[in-house]
Amino acid sequence: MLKGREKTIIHLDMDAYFASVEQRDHPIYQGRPVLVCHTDSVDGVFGVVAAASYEARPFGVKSGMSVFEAKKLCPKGIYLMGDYNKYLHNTKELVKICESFTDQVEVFSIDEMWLDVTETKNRFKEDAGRIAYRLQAEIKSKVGLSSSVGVGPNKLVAKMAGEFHKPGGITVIRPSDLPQILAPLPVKKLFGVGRKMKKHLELIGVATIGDLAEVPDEYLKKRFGVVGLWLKQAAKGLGDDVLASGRGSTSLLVKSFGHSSALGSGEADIDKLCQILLGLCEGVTRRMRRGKYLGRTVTLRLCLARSFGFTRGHTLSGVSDMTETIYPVARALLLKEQPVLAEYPATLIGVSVSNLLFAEKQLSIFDLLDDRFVRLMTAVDKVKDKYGDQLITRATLLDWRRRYHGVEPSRLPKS
Amino acid sequence: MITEIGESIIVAAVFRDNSITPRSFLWRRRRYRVNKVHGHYHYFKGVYRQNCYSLSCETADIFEVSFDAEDMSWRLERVHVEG
Repeated sequence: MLKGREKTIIHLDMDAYFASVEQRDHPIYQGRPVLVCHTDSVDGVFGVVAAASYEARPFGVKSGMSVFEAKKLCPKGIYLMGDYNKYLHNTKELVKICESFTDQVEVFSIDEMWLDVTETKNRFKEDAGRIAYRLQAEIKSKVGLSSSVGVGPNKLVAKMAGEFHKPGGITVIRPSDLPQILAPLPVKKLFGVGRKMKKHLELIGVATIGDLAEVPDEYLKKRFGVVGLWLKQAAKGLGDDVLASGRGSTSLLVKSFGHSSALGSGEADIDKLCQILLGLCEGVTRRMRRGKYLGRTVTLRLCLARSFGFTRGHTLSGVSDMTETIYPVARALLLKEQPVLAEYPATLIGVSVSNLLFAEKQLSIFDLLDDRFVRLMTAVDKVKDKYGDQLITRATLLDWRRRYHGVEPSRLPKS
Repeated sequence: MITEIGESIIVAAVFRDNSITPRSFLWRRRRYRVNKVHGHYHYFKGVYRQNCYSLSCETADIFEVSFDAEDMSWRLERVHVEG
């Protein structure tokens, strides 16, 4: 932090983002419970709810819930299939607006971003609350969507401030107000404290953020390692104030690439699961190559018998964006779970690659060993870039595409 | 209620300032005058830009139409009907 000059960070969070976009585009759904689902068909019960409008929430419907459960709780809701091209387009518009306020914009997710407005505030002698109000108003007028805005001295406090008055609120927390505002809040309100950590903290008698701020450092370090110390800093309202910005609105900051597929009533056949996994790896690595990212950690996600799920991960010795490197790792992780799958069929399978490195094409160690695949995938990517993703695929994936995604008839251009 | 249509339509549109705005369309021999464009976005299929619009006409129904820059064709994708 600059000496004598306090940082001012704004956290922007779009209210029920996907559902709000659909309500804006379809005014007949305004004021009604809208549920945007990640599924192949909203007529069925498979898939998960990606976003629920504020009208749907009193029914107990939440993001991440299965469509099956949601339909039981809210049978008269409007169930729509998510259109991620549409949401991404809107996010790019939002980033453009944010970048008109400051060049220091960090995109945290598709509907959340931080803005460092310290320079804007000092240069134009404008109050932080006023900047937040202008940002919110501009988003409403240009994109037609409601947002919640939090202002604080760092990213952590700004994010927590944004949670106070949702939807459509603006909350400003000044450093001098921090102890009075944070101390009485339940510890689960702290960014980074999930269900499990909350239970651990309750066991040591920590119920509020104020309680956590009082626990001795040595005790937290012994019990939770560096995470414990980080949480204590957060409880005192101290946090990271450096924004990972500078990529611009055309290329949002990415932390991982993942694809998943719902498997209906369940799939236990390991060969079919491997085939699906290969298709998912193809999708993930294609997006990585397009975004010029290389990744190191491969994570397999499985949901079993529609009742419980888990992840398994493996970190490579180098980075890669090739299916030929990512898929064998994901497959090995899947094969280890074969005994469990025999008992509980998989209802969802997913793969993601994280620990990313942004690099204008840089050959990884794997690629240097044998660059035939690199040359092949470069050629395949060129064909797909020009004629669309459906035109060319691995022969082993033809059956999977037909069963799980449908195949659009491929067309060559007329000239 | 959502009805998937996926049929070709004839559209009268204004091309201005790097944007395309549909003004009316002909579907199943009936002409629909566009009262409002509620939302629009685009994405790329290969190198070809696909423009998508949510429109309302004389009734409360919402029409989702798309324009494929590959063959300059318009399609009515689906209709959202109240109820």
